Amino acid sequence: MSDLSDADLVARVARGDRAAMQALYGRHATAVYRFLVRILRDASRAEDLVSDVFFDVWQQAGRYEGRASVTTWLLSIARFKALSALRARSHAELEPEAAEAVPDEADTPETVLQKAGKAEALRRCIAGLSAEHRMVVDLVYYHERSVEEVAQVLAIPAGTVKTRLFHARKRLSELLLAAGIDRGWP
Amino acid sequence: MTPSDPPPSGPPSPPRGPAAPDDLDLLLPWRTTGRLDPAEAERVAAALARDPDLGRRLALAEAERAETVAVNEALGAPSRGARDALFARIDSDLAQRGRRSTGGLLARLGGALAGLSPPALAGLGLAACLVILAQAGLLAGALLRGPAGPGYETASHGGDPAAGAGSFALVAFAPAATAGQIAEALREIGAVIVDGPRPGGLYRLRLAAEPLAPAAAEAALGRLRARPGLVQFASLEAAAGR
Repeated sequence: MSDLSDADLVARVARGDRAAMQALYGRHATAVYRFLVRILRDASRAEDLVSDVFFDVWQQAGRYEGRASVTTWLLSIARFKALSALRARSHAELEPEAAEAVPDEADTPETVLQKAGKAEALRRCIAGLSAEHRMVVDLVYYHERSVEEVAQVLAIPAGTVKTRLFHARKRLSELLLAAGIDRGWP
Repeated sequence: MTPSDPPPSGPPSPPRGPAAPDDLDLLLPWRTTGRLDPAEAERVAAALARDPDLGRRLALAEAERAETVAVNEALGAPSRGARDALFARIDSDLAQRGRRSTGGLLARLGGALAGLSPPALAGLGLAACLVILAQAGLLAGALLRGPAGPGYETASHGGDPAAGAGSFALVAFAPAATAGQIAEALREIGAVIVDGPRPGGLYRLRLAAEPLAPAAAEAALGRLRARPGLVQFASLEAAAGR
């Protein structure tokens, strides 16, 4: 199985090949899990959703047409399930879009700088971005998706992907500046 | 697009301040991962060669990338339990598919039988009866045959050397012929079924234990052919036997 492409594995999964499903899971489960944890900030819920994502793949592999890479397809399913889970959270009275846009203020910028050096501060600020900004940052920097692939996952135009990432980075600069670190940009 | 998304930027332009992103700044994050398309990669490379400050801004994006990777890698991986739970669901789904597949096969078989004409269905039933009778004979013969003394042997078993000698014919019974009609006709001419069904629904009959004269054998077949609705085809086989 190791020499098969992702698309080949999905084709085998569509025919009910359990071993191909195991190989596909082995390749992608960790990335999907991390994407979900970053959106949900809940490792336990993310594990449940990883299972849901791959069970969807098991059942719907026959519908995969190869128009997006398998990674992009998986992340699209994961995003959809994560947003559904966010909407279903009973304690969240906010509208989903608004809830996504609220940054995590658990650490104030001052405490961030007190706790760590510049790299650590940057990591904490990245973790403190809104869900909407975390998603685009992760898709570009960690999952290494192209502009078009991020657009597919987030279901937004390519131009919006660029400006959304710009605003996420700008927000990072603001958080760092508030923590006493001036990046001199933008 | 969400309310926080400004409209997509236009063509490349000089720096215009914090609120208006430079197009090259928009592209720098993808430069750090090598995911720019060739034309954009070329444009960014040319700008980096002539603008030292763009290089500084690229370094900012590279630091963002490094720390984003670090943040993600610190999140660990899904547990073995999550994997086991998924494949338990998959195994259950596979079992359900198997049951649906079996049910579908029976439904298709039922549909095919329902689509047959009554004579064809009767012929099919007769053939099945004959096969079952032959199998029952085989089983009983195997059970009753002892090491000493005379044993029971079915006509179709062929354990007796005599079964290989005599006069033989190939017959295809009519689909509408019943087992009772066939048995009666065979009894009348002293014939037994020794093989079949073969491809085409043919059965091999032994007309007599000894070679018959061609006229006598043909006469026996003629009596079968004379019964209405009994045989579709009947022909003598070479007298040498099997």
